Amino acid sequence: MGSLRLSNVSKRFGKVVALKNMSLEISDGEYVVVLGPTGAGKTTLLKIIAGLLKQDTGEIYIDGVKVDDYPPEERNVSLFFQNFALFPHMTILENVAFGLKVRGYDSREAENRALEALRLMHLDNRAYSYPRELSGGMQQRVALARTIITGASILLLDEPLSQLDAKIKSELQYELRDFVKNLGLTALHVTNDVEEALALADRIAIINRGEVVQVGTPFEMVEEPKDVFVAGFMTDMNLMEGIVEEVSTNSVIVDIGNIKLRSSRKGSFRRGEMVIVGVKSKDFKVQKADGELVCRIEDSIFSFKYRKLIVCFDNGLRVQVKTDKSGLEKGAYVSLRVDPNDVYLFPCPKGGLRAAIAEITGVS
Amino acid sequence: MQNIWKILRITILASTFLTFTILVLFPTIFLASFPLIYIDDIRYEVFENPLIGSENLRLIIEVLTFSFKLSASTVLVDILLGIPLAFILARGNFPGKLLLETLVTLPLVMPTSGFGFASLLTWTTVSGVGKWFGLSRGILSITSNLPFIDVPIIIFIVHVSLTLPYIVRTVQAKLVEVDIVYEDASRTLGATSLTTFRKILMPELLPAIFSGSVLAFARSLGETGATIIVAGVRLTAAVAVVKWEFEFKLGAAAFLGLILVLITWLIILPAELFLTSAKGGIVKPPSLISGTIVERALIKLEAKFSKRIFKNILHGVCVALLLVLVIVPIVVVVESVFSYMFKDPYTGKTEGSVIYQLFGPANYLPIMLRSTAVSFASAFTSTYISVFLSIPLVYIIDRYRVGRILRALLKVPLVIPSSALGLSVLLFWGPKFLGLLTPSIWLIILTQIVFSVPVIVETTMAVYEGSNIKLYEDAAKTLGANPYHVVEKISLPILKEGIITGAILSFTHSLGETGAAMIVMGADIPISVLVVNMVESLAIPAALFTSAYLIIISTIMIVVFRIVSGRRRI
Amino acid sequence: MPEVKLVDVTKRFGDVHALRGVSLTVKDGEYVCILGPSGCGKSTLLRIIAGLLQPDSGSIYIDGRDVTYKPPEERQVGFVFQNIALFPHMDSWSNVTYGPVVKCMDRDTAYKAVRELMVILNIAKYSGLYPYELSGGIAQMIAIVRALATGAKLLLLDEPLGALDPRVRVNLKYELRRMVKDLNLTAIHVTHNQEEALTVADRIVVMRSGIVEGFDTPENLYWRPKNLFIADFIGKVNIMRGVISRVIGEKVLISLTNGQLVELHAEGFSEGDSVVLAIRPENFEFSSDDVMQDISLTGVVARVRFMGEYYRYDVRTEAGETIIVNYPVGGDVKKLGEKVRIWFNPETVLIYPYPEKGIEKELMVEI
Ligand SMILES: Nc1ncnc2c1ncn2[C@@H]1O[C@H](COP(=O)(O)OP(=O)(O)O)[C@@H](O)[C@H]1O
Ligand SMILES: Nc1ncnc2c1ncn2[C@@H]1O[C@H](COP(=O)(O)OP(=O)(O)O)[C@@H](O)[C@H]1O
Ligand SMILES: [Mg+2]
Ligand SMILES: [Mg+2]
Repeated sequence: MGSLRLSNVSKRFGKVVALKNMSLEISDGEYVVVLGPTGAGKTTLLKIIAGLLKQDTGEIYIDGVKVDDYPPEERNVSLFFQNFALFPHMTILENVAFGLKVRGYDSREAENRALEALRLMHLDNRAYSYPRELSGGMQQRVALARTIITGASILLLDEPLSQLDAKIKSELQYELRDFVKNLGLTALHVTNDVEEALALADRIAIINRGEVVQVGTPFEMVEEPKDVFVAGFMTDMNLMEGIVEEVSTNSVIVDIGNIKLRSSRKGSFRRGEMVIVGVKSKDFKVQKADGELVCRIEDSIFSFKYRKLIVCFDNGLRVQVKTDKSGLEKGAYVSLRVDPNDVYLFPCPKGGLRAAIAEITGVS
Repeated sequence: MQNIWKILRITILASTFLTFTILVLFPTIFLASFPLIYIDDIRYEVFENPLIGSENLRLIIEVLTFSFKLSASTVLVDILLGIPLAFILARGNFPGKLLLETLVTLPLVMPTSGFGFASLLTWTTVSGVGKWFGLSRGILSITSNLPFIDVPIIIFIVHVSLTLPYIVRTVQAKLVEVDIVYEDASRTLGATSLTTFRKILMPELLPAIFSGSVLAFARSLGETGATIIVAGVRLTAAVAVVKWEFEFKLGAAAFLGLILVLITWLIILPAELFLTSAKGGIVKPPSLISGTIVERALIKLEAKFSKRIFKNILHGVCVALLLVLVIVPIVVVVESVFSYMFKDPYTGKTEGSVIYQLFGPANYLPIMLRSTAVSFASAFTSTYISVFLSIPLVYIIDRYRVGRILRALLKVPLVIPSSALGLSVLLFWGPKFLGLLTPSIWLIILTQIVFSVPVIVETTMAVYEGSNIKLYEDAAKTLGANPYHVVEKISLPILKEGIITGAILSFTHSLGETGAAMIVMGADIPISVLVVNMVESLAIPAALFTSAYLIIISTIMIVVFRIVSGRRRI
Repeated sequence: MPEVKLVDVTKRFGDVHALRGVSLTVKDGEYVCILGPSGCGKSTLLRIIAGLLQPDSGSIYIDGRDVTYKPPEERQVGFVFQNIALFPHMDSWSNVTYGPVVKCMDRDTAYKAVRELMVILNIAKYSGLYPYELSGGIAQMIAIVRALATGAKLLLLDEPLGALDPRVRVNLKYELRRMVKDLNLTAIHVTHNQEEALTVADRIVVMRSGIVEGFDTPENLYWRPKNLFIADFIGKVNIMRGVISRVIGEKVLISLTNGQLVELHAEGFSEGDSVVLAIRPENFEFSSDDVMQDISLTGVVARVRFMGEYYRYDVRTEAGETIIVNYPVGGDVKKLGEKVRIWFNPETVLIYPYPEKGIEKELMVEI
């Protein structure tokens, strides 16, 4: 009772292309997270599904029915707004109960359910406050409660956890998933936070510049990223430009400014081709300097149970290495090792590596 | 289902638009037909009168020049006084802020004729502040002029009081909107408060100062009620329109009215366009002196005057001036009512007492009561109708293309000289064109609707734009609300504050409006005009009583309104 | 050289006690983070240091000079705001040179320094752009340059990464730290994000409801937190209750609520004391049935989430408690409903007296 299908949906605002031929299928009861940087088109996508914006081309099907001509209130979806949109003239309880009341629930019943949802959000003690009396994080939780109990079977959640303190968020995200799953709802959740996506999603869809880049389970997205953008966005992979030096049946040797790495991951590359090499910081193993892959420790940063080393090779290449070894001082020389299975190879992006990284991290 | 909602919506909007066009739009723009209707009168009276030649043209030019000098100097002082006041209100946090804010708004809602009379009494007669200083006359003569420009101080004072709110309110609203973080950033970068004001706030405030000034200028140009009382023999353009209409110099009156309206249009429309194009975008003023030696010197100077003491002095002076201009006349008029209660305090004659004039042979009481009834009935009816017209109008303005034009058009009744507006309404409905109505309370109501609708639309629009209402409506829709629910449970409650504010403002405005009423009232004299009549027939005690009574009513209304809206905001 | 010292600073807003007696010293050249939940008074503290707010009582010294009553323009600090606050009507270059201009500094030297800084940070190419044309990350870098342009050596950052995408944040925080160290600045950086604080700071001030709960290095806060609140706030902990059943020299024998006995290094406890054990999710291990550890719990996997570098398991123990276990990717993956046995290394256990107010109160972010 809540499947969703988008077929070739496009939307532009003047010159800006917000969505480009987007197709996505979500089955009943699934929790899908759309992940992408700010400006990728996430909000536009949700508004179109909710019926608040009209797509330029393409169709939307809810439970197999084409809904392009349905007004928002008849679409069986419930949208969480990025900026909450709590009604300022209503109490928290009235806000949360609103959706049930206008759908014809008896007022007592609606308020009881609203209270229950507020309890989940740890806010039942603020039921009679007004939105402006609550902090941003609290307002966000109220809006979340309001969205999830309307009785609609598809939830559209626009960055619903972005305003929360890290501490509250890391607990609430799992509870949110449980709640949605227990009610058997379908969720399309958009965010720019990878951890949130991993914690919540059955499947993740990464979008960039209005296009879907890759869709898959969290595991697939982290372990089998399709290109540099996905790898850089999902993981803390060190990305380096290299040249394919040797191709054999089950491995490739890449030269990164005289540093040679062997990769045994599948993929077809030609000799002399420029590729991007990716190694996750946890996959480098640190050992005593022994002549191979020798580098100098430039900085050592606390990283919970581990330390994050910034190491620099003779050729100026800098990488991050995560290790649980202690006693590695700044300035010391060490050698790195990496399992060929953990060396990823990607085709070189059109604008070059620097531009691709700038696109992911927002700074050059 | 969907179709029904669509039909309903279109019906409501279309009928609103139609009513609006007939009741507000046509009467407003009907002025444009003056030269056609009066072409002969105008030529005869203004340009080639067989007896006096173009004497009337000379007169017209004279009153226009005078009005310009008056309005320009008024706006200048408004800006100087208004910016610090706006600052105090927007950035300050002190007990009594609400009171000060109410005080600033007061002249907007006070009956201008009553206020004019109170000011006249206060500054130019022995019953006013002169008495407090032991003088046997007022501290000003009605003919004392401002230096250099030939403008009587008393008119100038009254105009400053009446137009100051326009600057203060627009600048204050903008200041509240500007995030204080920019000022903080500037301070931590080493700029003193005056430098911060010049470099960071001014660019943001310029459009607001500009639009406030335009409103104040137009308002001053068109002010009739108070001016007619304090002007003595001097004629401002707006007063001339009324006077000439009474003297049946219709051609001259219409010609002058038209010129006034054209001038108002000429300053309002470019301002509107400038502001709407700058809105959202950013004004980037060229920084001519940035980084030069001149600027260095300026920065040093600003540093000297940024000391807290100078700021406090400036703020103190501005607040004190406001108190003097607004509160003192109110106090004086109320006090005078008491001293004139049983006898004239100077001659000792009982014929000169309030009681005698109200209950004695002159028998002003029944006249006053009747006028009160006329005023309240007309103000109530026009406000009531205007509210119902305004709400759908707000939607039309926001959702449809014509909205922007409509909004600019709606500024016109707010700022054109009310006497010209009255004339236009009279001509539209009256014998010269439709022939449906003659001057009477009905015409008063129709005139009041013309300026009430813009007031209510403006305040509602302000809430509409400030509250992000479309977002809430969208939210309600996705929560399953149908259009009826959306309007009833979301839109109206959120807009309520703006609607109530607008209704109260337009009600008090209607109560106090003088210029237009004088032209369209016929035999139904509203109370604000009664004051003028009393002053002109030298029934001073009766005028005193009526002014005090009017001022107190409007003060109570604004205070009640403040309390109501204040409570909601907390 | 900037050293910042606060002595017993208090501040109230009406009924709200934003700061209740804060004293601390930030050393010259140090990168200090102020970490605490929203509303605990972090910004208030920073704004008091900058002079944007006046304290109700207490004093502020910068370089030994009492600046408590000095206006911000006389304090020589650079301030970076959460919402970036670049002046919207000026381009980047006018923004960054605003400080030198209004301070009437020598133009050539100041401009040259600013230009160099922009080149180092690789943002010189954005000089001619207006704030609305910049991405969040770039805009914040410009704002940082602006804050430093007048030669300020003390950099105050109020949630400088808060308005940015999480992915941008990760990168920028390292750049920020490197810049502060390269330029020999002293930095005070306010954040509510644990990870951000732990990975950039030399030392961290942990605040709660206007009070400094702790002030220490990331390592100490993580491995040896002073109290249960900090232990939990800095990174999640699983909490188990127990009673000291015997003290043996430097060790104590604790009997857990489920009856198991644990031997731990701990001092200052006596027999019969109620205690709580706090164990971080990453310090649990799974044991196979054949190897028996002393301290192990059995339970059922109630939830599994793949979190990129580790799996997060919620293990429901026989006693009905839920223990969270973060286990690195690589080993075999447990399935939902699977019976597991978990154990922990006694070295990694944190032990505290049972809080008088109860555990829930102790961990609450607002008092
Ligand atoms: N109403 C609008 N008018 C013009 N451009 C818009 C509008 N809404 C969004 N955009 C543009 O469309 C793109 C996608 O925006 P949005 O969907 O809000 O992205 P996200 O939610 O992923 O941050 C952005 O470049 C944005 O500037
Ligand atoms: N200007 C102010 N007026 C009233 N209360 C304030 C003001 N500034 C801060 N507060 C209150 O002081 C407390 C601390 O605020 P703040 O320092 O901004 O916290 P943080 O930065 O840690 O989130 C909060 O309860 C906040 O509501
Ligand atoms: Mg968005
Ligand atoms: Mg803060």
